[in-house]
Amino acid sequence: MRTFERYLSRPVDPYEVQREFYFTRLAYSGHMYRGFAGSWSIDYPKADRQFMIGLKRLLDQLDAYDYDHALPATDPELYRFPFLYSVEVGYMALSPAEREALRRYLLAGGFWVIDDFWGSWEWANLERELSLLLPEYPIVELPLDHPIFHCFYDVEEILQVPNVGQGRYGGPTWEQDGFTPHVRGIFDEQGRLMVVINWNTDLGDAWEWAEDEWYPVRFSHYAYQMGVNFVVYAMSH
Amino acid sequence: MVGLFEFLFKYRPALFEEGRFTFVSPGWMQLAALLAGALLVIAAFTYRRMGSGASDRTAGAERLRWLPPVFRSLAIAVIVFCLLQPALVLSTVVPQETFVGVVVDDSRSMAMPDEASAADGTRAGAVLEALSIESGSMLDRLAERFQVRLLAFGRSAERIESTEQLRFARADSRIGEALVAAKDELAGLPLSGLVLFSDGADSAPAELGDALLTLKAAGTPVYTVGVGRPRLRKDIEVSRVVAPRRVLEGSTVEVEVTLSQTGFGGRTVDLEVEDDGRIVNVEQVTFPRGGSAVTARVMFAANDEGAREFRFQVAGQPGEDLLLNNERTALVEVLKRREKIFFFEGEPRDESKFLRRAVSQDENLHVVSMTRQAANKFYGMNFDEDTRRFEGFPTRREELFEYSGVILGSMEASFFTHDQMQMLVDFAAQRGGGVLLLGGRRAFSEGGFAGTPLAELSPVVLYDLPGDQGRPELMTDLRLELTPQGRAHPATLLRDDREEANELWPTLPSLSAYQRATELKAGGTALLQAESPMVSDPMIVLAHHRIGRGRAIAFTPHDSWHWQMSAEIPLEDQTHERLWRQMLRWLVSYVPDRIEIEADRDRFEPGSIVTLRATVRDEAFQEVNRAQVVAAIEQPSGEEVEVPLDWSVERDGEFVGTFTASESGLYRVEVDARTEGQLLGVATSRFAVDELNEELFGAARRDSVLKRIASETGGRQVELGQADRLVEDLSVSREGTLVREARDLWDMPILFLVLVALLGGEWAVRRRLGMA
Repeated sequence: MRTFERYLSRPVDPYEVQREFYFTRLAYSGHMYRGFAGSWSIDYPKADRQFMIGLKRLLDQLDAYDYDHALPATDPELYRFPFLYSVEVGYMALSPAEREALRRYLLAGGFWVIDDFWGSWEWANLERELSLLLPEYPIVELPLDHPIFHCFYDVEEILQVPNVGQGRYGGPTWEQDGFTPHVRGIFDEQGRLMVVINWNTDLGDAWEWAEDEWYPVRFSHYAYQMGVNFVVYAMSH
Repeated sequence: MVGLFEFLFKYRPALFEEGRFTFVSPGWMQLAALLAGALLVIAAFTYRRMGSGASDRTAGAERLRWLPPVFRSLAIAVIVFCLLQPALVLSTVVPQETFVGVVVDDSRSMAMPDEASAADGTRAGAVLEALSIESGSMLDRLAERFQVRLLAFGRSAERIESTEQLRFARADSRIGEALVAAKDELAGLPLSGLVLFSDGADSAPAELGDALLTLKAAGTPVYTVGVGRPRLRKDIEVSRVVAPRRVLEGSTVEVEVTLSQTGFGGRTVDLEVEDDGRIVNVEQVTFPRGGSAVTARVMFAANDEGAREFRFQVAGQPGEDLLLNNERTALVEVLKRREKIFFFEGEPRDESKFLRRAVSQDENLHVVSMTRQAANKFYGMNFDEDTRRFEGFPTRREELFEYSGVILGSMEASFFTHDQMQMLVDFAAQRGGGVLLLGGRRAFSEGGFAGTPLAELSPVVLYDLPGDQGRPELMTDLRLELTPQGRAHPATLLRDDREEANELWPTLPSLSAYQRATELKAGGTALLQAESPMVSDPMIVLAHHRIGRGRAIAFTPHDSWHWQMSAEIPLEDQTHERLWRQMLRWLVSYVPDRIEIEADRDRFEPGSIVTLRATVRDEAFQEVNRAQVVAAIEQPSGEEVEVPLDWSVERDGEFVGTFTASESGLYRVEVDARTEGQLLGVATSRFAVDELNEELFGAARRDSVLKRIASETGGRQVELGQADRLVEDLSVSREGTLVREARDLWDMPILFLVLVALLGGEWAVRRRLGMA
C-alpha cells in the first residue's frame, strides 16, 4: 500500500495517549481516480480533523483523538478502532486480504460509515464489492425512524449535501446521475447495523468546508448532525 | 466405671439416686455409740502408756505416733456404721401391676446389616431376638415383672400384638412424635416408662425437644436400647446439598455437595449431576485420607425452564453397607424472566457498547442504559413500557430500586448528589441489589470515589488522590490470571468445563486498566489479578464483597471488548459474550423481589406441615406490615387451596401461614399481597412432597439422640442384652403401682475393704514404731 504511506498524515503520535475514540479512515486499494492513486484519501486529512473539532465540541464527554487517523484494512491493529470511515468507494477495489480482514472486522463488531460517492456507476462498484465482502447480508434502505437518525440529533429529512464546488456556487447538489440522496445499511443476523452507506451525498466536504463562508451552513449543519449521530450510534449499539 | 461402682457399693448409682438412705435399727444406736466411745478411750489409754515407755524413738517415728489411734478409731467407726444397719429405701413397682411400653422402630434403616449381636447380623434381627418370647430374652425378663405393651413406629406409634407384625420397612421414623403417641396410647395405665428400641435415626422435621418436654412433663421416662454400630464400616453418603432455590434460565448453577464416608479414605469417586435423567456434569471427588467428609463445588448449566429436580449421586462402591444414601435431590426453579439492570455510563465508550451487545441476545437480562454524551445530555436506551423513564441518574428510590442490578461505568463521583450516592449504597445494602463498578478513567480512586458514600461499594481499597491528577496513566499489557478463589467461581467459568476455563484465562489477549487496585477490603474476595511492570504488587482485576443484603463487584479493565474484536480470537468464539453473561447473571443472582414467598424447605415428607413465609415490600423496598396476603396453593392433583398469611410480628414485612401437604408431587404457591385493596404484587414459589428417606442419611447408630432422649425424660440408655439392668431401672421408677422396699447396705464390699485397710495401716505403723 504505497499510496497509504504517501498520503499518510500523522501530526501527533496517536498512541502516545490511548483514547477511547479514533476517527479512523479506511485506506483501501482502488482503481485509478482521476489520474491519482488513492481515492480513499479524498478530503483527507482536513475533513477528518475538522470533523473532530466539531465532534469534540458537541460530544464533550467523548475521549477522542484530535486528529486524522487512517489505517489499511490489513493492519493487524485495525480491530482496536471499531469505527471506520470511507469515501469515494466507487473506485474501491479491495484485495482478497483486505476483504477478509474487513469482513472479520465488521462481523466481530466494527462499524463502517461510507460517504461521498455518486450515481449508478459508483453504486454498482460498491454493490459489487459488498457482495464479495458480505454476500449473505442485503443492503437495505434505513427508514427515518431508525435510531441512527435520533440518537443525538433528531434528523427528520435526508438532505443531499453537495461537494464544495457546487455548494459554494449554488449549482446543482447532485453529481453524475445521483439525483436522490440515500442512507442505506447492512445488518447482521442479530439486527446490528454494520455498515451505513451515504450515497449521492458528500458529508465529508461539508465538514471540510464548514468554516467557508460561501459554503451553505445548512449543509454543514446537517453533515455534522449526521456525523455526530453516526459516532454516538457506533459507540452505543 | 458403673461396674466398679456396683462392685464396691453393691448397687448401681441409679439406685442410690432413686433411693433414700436410712438406718434400719435405730435402737442400737446408743449402745453402739457407747461401745465405740469406750473402745476409743481404751485405745487412747493404751497408746499413751506405750508412748511414755519408749525413750529411744527417732524424730521421724515421733511424727507417725498419732496415726495408729486415728486408724483404729476409724475402723471402730466403720464397725459401728455397719452395726447400725444402713439401708437404701426404694419405691419399687408391684410385680405385674405396672405397665411398660416397648416402642420399636419399624423403619427400613433397621434392616441394615451392622449389628453383630444378631444371628442374621441386622439391627432388626437383634430387636427380634431381644423381644422374642424365649426364656431369658429382654422381653421375657420384662414380662416377669411388668405388663408389657408392644408398639411399632414409623411416622407415629401404634399398638401391635406381637413382633410378627414388625416389617422394618417404613419410610421414616419420627421418634419424638412416636414416643408422645405411645405415651398417649398408654395413658391411664400405671406406666413405669417406655423402652425404645431404635438406631436413633430421626427423620422428623421438627425439633425433638418439644416431644421430650411433653414426656418429661408427663413423668414418662424413656429407656433407650440402641441397635446398630455407632459407625458404619464402609459407606459413602451424600450428606448435604446446598443449592439456590431459583436461578435464571441458562445460568450456571453452583451447588455445594458434602460427601461423607467411612472406609473409603483416599478413594476418588464420580459425583454425577442429573437433570431429569440426563447427566449434566460429572465431578471427580477424592476423599481425604484422614477426614471423613469433603465438600465439592459442582457447577452446571440450568437450561430448561420450570421446577427442576437435580439429582446428585455417587455410584455404589464395592462393599458399601448402604447404597440408598448415595444420592440426594435438590429442587431448583429455573426462571424464564428478564432481570432488569441499569447501566449508567459517564462517557461514550466501546467497553459499554460491547458489554451491552454481549448480553443483548440473553433473553433473561434486560440492560437499560443511560450514557452521558455531553454535559447534561444523556442517551437512554432500552427503556420499555414497564420501565420508568428518567434523565441522567435516578433521583427517587422507586426509579432505581425497580432494577436488580446497577452497572456504574466511567463516571466521576462529583456528578452525583450526596443523596444519589447514598441511594446507590442503599440499593445494595437495603434493597439487596448487585452493583458492578467498571474500570475507567473516571472510576474508583481516579473518579474521586474515596471519601464519598460510593467508596463503601468498592471491594478494593480506594485512595484519596490529592488535587487535579490530570489524565490517569493507563497500565497496558495486563495478562489476567485467576486467584485460587477465582478458579472455582461461576463468574469465571468461560467454558463448560472448569479445567478448560481455568486454562483459557492466561491465553486471552492482554487488557489495560486505569485502576491501580492492589489492596482488598476486609471481607472482599479477589477472583482475577494481573501483574504489571508499573505496579509492584499484583493488581486486583475482579473482586467482590457483600454490602448488607446485596453485593458489589469491581472489574477494573476498560477494554475487555478486545476479546470480541481481536484478530487473535476466532469470530465464532463466545468468550466475551460469556464473560458478561456470567458476570451480569452473577450480579443479579439472589437479588430479592419486592414480594417473595418461600416454604421453609424445598422438599417435604407427605403429611408434613409446610410453613409459608412471605415478605412484602413497597416500591421503595420498605417493608409493609399492613397488608392482606393470601397464598394460593396448587396441589399436584390440580386442586387449589387458599391460605391467608398473617404478619409474623417478629419481622417487618414478614407474613406466615401453614399448610399440611398430604399429596405427593410438586406444589406451586402464588402469593398475592394487597394494601387497601391495591395490588402490591405477586410472587410464586414451588416445593416438592416425596418420600425423603432422611433416616438413611447419617445411618450409623445415633447414640447422641438416644442419650438425649433418655437423659431429658429421666430414663437411661441401656445396651442390648442388659435385661437385668433395664428391669431394675424400671422397677425403681417413680411411676406405676409402687411399694417401699429397704435394701441392706452394711454388707457393701467397700466397707469391708475400708476396714481391712484401716486395720492393716494401723499394724504397719505400729510395726514401724516398734510397738507391734
